[in-house]
Amino acid sequence: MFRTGVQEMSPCRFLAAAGGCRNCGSACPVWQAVCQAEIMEICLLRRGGGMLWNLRTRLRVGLALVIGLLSCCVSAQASQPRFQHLSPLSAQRGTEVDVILYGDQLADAEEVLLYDSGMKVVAFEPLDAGDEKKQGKRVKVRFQIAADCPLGAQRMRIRTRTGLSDLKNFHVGALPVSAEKEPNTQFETPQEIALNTSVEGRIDREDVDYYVIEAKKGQRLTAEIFGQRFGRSTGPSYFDPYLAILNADRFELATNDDTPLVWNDAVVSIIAPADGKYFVQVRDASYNGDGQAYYVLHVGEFPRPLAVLPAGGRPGEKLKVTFLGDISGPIEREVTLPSQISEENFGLDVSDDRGIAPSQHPFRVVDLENVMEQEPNNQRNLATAGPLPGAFNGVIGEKGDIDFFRFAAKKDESVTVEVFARRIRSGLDPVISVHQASDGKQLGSDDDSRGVDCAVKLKVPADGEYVVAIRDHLHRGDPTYTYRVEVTRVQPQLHAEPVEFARYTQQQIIIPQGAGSGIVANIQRREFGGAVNFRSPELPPGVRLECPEGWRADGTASVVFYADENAPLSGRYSAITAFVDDPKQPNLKVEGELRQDVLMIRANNNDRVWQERMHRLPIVVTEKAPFKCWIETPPVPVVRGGSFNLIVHCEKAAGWDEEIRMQLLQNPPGVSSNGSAKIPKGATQGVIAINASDKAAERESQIAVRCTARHAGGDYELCTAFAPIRVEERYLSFEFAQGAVEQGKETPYLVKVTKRKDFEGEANVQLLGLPANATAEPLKLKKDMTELLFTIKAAANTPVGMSQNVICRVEVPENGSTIVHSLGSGRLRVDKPAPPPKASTPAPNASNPPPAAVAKAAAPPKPLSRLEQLRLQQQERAGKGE
Amino acid sequence: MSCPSPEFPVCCCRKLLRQALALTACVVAASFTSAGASDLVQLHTYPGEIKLTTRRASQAVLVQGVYSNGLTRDLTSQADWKISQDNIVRREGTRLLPVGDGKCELVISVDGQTRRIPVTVERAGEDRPVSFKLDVMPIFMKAGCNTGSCHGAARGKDGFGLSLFGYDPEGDYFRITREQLGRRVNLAVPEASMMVEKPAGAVPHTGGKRYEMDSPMNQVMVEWIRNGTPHDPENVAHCVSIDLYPRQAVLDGAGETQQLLVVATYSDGTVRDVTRLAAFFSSNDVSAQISETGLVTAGERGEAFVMARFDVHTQGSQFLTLPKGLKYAPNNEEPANYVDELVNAKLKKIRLNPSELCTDEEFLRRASIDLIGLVPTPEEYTAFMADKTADKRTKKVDELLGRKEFTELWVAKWSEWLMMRSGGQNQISDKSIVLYYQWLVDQVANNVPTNEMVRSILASSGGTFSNPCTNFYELERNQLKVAENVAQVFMGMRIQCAQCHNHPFDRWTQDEYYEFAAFFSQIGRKRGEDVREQVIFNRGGGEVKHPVTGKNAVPKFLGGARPDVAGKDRREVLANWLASPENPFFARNFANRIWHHFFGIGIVEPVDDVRISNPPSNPELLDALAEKFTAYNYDFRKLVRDICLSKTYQRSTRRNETNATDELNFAHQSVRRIKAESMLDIISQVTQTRDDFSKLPAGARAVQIADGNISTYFLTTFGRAKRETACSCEVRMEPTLSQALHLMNGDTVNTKMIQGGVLKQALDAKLPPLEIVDNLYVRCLSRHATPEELNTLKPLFADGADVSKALEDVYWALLNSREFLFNH
Repeated sequence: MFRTGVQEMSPCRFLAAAGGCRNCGSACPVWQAVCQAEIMEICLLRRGGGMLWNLRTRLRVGLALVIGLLSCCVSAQASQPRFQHLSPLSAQRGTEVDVILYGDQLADAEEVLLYDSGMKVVAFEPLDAGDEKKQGKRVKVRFQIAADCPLGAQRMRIRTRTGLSDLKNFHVGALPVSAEKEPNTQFETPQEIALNTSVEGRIDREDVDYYVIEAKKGQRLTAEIFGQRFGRSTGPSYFDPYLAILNADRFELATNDDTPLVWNDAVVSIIAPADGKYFVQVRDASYNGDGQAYYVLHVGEFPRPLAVLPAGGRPGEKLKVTFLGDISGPIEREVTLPSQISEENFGLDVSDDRGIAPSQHPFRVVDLENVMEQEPNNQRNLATAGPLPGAFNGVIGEKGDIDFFRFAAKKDESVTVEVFARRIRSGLDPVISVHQASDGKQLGSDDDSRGVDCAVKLKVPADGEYVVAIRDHLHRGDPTYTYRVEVTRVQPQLHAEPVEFARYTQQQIIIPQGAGSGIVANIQRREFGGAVNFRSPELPPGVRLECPEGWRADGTASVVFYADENAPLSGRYSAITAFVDDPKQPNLKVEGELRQDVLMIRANNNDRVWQERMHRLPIVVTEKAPFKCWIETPPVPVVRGGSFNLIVHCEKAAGWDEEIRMQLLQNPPGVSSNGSAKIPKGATQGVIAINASDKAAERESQIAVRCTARHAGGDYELCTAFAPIRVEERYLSFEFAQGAVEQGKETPYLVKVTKRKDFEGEANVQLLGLPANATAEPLKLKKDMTELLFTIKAAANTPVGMSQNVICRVEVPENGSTIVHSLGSGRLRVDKPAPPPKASTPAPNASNPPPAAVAKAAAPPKPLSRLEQLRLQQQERAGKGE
Repeated sequence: MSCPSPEFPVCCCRKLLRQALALTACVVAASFTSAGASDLVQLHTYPGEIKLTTRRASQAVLVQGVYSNGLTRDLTSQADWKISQDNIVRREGTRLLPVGDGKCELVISVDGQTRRIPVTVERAGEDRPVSFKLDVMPIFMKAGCNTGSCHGAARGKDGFGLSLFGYDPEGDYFRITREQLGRRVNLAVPEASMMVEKPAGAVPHTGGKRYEMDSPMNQVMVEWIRNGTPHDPENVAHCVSIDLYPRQAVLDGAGETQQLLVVATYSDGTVRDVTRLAAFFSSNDVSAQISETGLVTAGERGEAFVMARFDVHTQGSQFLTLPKGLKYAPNNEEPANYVDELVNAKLKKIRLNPSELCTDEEFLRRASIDLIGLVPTPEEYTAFMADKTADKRTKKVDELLGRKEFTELWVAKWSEWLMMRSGGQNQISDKSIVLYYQWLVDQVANNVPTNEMVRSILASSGGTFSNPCTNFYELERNQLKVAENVAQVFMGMRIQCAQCHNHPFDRWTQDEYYEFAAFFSQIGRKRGEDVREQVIFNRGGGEVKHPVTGKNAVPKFLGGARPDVAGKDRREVLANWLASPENPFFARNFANRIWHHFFGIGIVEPVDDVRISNPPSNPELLDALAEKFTAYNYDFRKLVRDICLSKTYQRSTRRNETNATDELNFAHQSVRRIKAESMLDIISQVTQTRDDFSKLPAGARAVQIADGNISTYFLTTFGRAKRETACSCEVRMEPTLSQALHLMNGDTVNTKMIQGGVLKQALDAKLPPLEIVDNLYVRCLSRHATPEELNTLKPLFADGADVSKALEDVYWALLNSREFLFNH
């Protein structure tokens, strides 16, 4: 599909792919006969002709489409579904659980799109369907959770026939879950729970929750909370859990606010000192808490180490790892890693005879040989040796500790030394430096270039050995301060992310049938340059994506997803691959993902507190929108410093007439466009003013327009098909003479014309930027003229002073249209009239008329430069004897 | 940085004036004594040693006698002078002038007492050329040219600017000799220079005539110009200190005089008599007026602090003026500890007697409010009153010191000093403040010595969450302000003035300011993983530039040595000095702040404005408290105990005839308004209600509010500190009309009375109305109702009266009574 750029959540029953509107059943023969045939034609033409596709054909197609009437009724089905809450929020794996999903605009909900594996939906039913007031607010689903479902968050969205909801997290644990029962806010009145269970609760404002459990002496007692990781917030306020275990005498045996492994959530462990009751206190770290401060608290005997060593291995490798930081001591395990390297987060579970830890340890699966630090290695000459490439693993175990590693490299190799510490959720704040092994000369150092982690890129100066030193930023040390230093030869890397069109609003790919949905992808290239294209083998049926060639070499590229007219309503998390597609570098093979970090909690100043990284983007096909829009292909280029009015046509469904807001999906480099253009009510076309700067890139770019309109309580957005817009150098350049005029008089104003490119016919030239009440008649410019002479008339009340910005607006005719140039600039001074001649001055002798009069009589005056004018004036004065 | 007035601080003047007037009004009793009737017990001669270098030198000599009744007299003119050798020095009035090189002795005798002063003369044949810095600059100070209201103003005056109080001699030299060439100094005709004609009044001068044309000051100026306005050589000696003599004087009645003597010591070891060049000020002209030449004339009864300023140095002496022939009999009460000894010594000196001890009821209420911020419960009251042991007050103080509320009260105080407040420019999170507060609670509750606490704060590194005391550097990021706050909070002095110019009323120079600020120039900050957290660390680099010299300031302790900071965390170096006995200001500052809590007025007041021109009212007491605090290993509880167990603390607020108007010398306890947080807590306590403060668990008390940003109408009205600055003036303790109105008409008291159900419980218990009234007295005022009070209230409970309503009225009246609202 190419033409029918209609996008976004339409409740409207436009034209169903099967040949009729779902609501009214109309067959819309006109549409089918005219439009679809034309569309096919366009598609074929486009595929055959590529970028040289004839402009006129496109224009004709566009006009032809206008003829196709949208004679269809419009549904008032809700759009822009919102997903606000789930209840319950968590469940034990290996069970089935009924969950109510709460939100808005959910009446036409069709399915839950689960992102993660291990869970499936076995029943789905929107509730309160018949009740006008309540409908669209609740959906009942039944989740079947596999016994081996990964522990932690299950991310999901709700797809409706007209849209896609926001992302919400559900929590899967290994223990049976009960609900919090208020009042449990006092130490004296705690809620009793059994050991090895989970409890789901909420912290309200200034709330404290107490739970009590029985434990035997020597028993390992651990509490872990999953709170902030739900990604809930109310404005800038969000939940930051704090945990404490107290004994019956109210003494705190363990407290925790933040633990790197669980981010801002908390973990506390004790070995019960005696048989008896133990109290778990849950609160917000700063006594915040609100309606969104939900948590799941796991209390049991399960192991809860805080770090793993090493924190990475090769794909398919079987290796020994040690989990550190459990209150009972280190736990050794042998693990087998997945055989495929995946972008998806991989983690290790840790379990023993007393249970399984509620959350996983992040673990790197990369094809690098592991090297473990060999103590002592806290001096350069004691560095632990390893290969290049390789992964060095160790622990900054005590205060002041520093670890050295050594590797050999060849001259001129580019090597990346990258530390993974906080990214594997270790508490270490690593600082790294790279030195020559021979003399210790430092070649690079870093603290924070990868968030808390760090990396150094090294151009190897000579064949030899190099040493990496790693320590904590504050010279701290701890047995759980693990790290992993990956030393690799520099490899090109690539990934892309959609940019946000509006602040805090992340673009979703929601495509109305027969329309498009556009994103602008921010392309991050490391260690290479060149054109990048996008592909996806797993788009929903009837959907394709397009990234026009002109954008591919840029830092940001337009990518539009189009759904066929008859694409079934569906949704899918699709992996989209960015890949090097550069004719100049046919052998360069680099691929990366198009990903999105979904912002769940935002603090002040746009700080991203909690986000979920989506390696696959949800792509949803919805019902048609009540309108469709297309660009009238510009018949002429836009020149540097010039402007152009882009015309966008629309077709509105019968009975639907709303204002359509328009914005270019992406401006070509150096080009700006009106961001608030509209197709008003009652109109079928609108204009987007486009301006090219003096330095706009001379090239052709494919532009698309995002069109948005209100309907059924929500905004419908779609993206038009691409149309080319060409930026060229100006056809002409003007040089202005400096002018001066007295109030109430007129002056010739000379403009020298230099032509760069031929044009046919006459161009209209208008002088702009004149001072108030000064005028100049427009002139016509033919292609061979080299001068233009305006006559500027200043009125008696034209203000005195210098006008700095006199310009010419030139409309050059081409291709039945005009190319608007803005050429300039010149200066014009307005003077006060010279004082009248002195009374004593004799009147000019009639037999000796002033030279000016002679010049005037001698027909068309030669335009004088400012200097010549001044000379003339001087002569006149001399002649008058002043 | 702002400096409200470069002139003498008016507030300080007024305060001392008040004090003076107060003393003036003291009624005299007991025996009559006078200098005439007493014996000369000690003879002081100043200076202790005379050194005259070059022909230009001269030295005045001062003789002061101390009499058995404590009075002093200027005996210079009455003394018998003898010079051991004629060829060394000659005498001209009270002044010695060089004759020839060598050594001799000046022997002074009065009433049989003799003092010998060694005299050394060097280079008597040489003359020293006039120096710009040594001779000309002091003229500007003496004549007042470089004060803020004259040419020392930031923009100068009438087109001519000098550095304020001469902090930039190089700049002044430039302006005099290079600006407006030929006008300010006329090398051809020195007498026609503006610098000569203007101050001498020969031509119109906005500032008027400053001195006579033939005055020594003008002569120096003319000589310097005649010499061609030479610039001083690089190594010219600079003044390192000045001494002001006598150090103390007790003058017997109006009209008595005492000459002052100022001697400057220079970096090359020479000394000069600079009395004629020094500027003199008196903090209290009514009691001790001082002339331009340094002659103090006694006025009305009172205490004054007279100061001399020369170069960048200021020194002061204490002057007491007593009425001529004052009668006074000390009551010679047995002191409970060193506090009483030193307070009594001062009282004796100014001829005051302390008030008697307060009653047990008063003590119990006072100590409870001061130590735990609550009033005693009826049960505590009964138990204490029933205790008949002699040391029950000691036991009570010890008990209160161990209470959790004691910790909270002092944590709240620390929170004010450390300006704990969320939000603001640096967007301090609630969590930072909660954790910082919790850190303080741990410190105070575990009795961590104050010096260690301060050391932890100053040398702190780490995340503002993981090591919350680093918030000290997050709440204020400007390194100059950090330096100012450290000086103000931990050393009790305001050095802000010295940021722009030498401190006009203290010893601090601009150099010292930047040298102190240099300790904070290497603080590194980076964002933690949590967006709300900052990591504070030692960057190991970064300097503070001196704005005048443009050079990097080299770290030097304020009033201390220049330590080796190479390769060290400068803040650690500073912390180790600041919170140690080597720093003379640290222990004194905290001792003074602690003292202030128990008397409502510091020994230095305000507590964070220690300076030469604001001397302690009882320096010996402050020194002793500081020494004890240091000896106790900075355990402030022990110092609190000493204070609370002293008779001085336990004195009645009732005044006697001698101390009726004394406010500064602790002759009696003061009636103090209760602090906002404690007031609200006490109201909640006596009404049995709980408060609900934002971001604190229900039932938390006002004193536990960690964040200066959280307040209620009540707390704001009662002057709770906003904690926006380090200034002690943030806590407002004065009673205001809006406070009274809020208590009477606002919803706090009325609502709480109803909510708490105190009356309902009493009525349910079927107690007789007057017994309930009495119980309310005990509950609110920690005393029983007097028979007169009960009699007055009786008609309210006559037959047929609405008992419940009447009790409510009594309860309300008690909660609005001054006796309830004040600690007394």
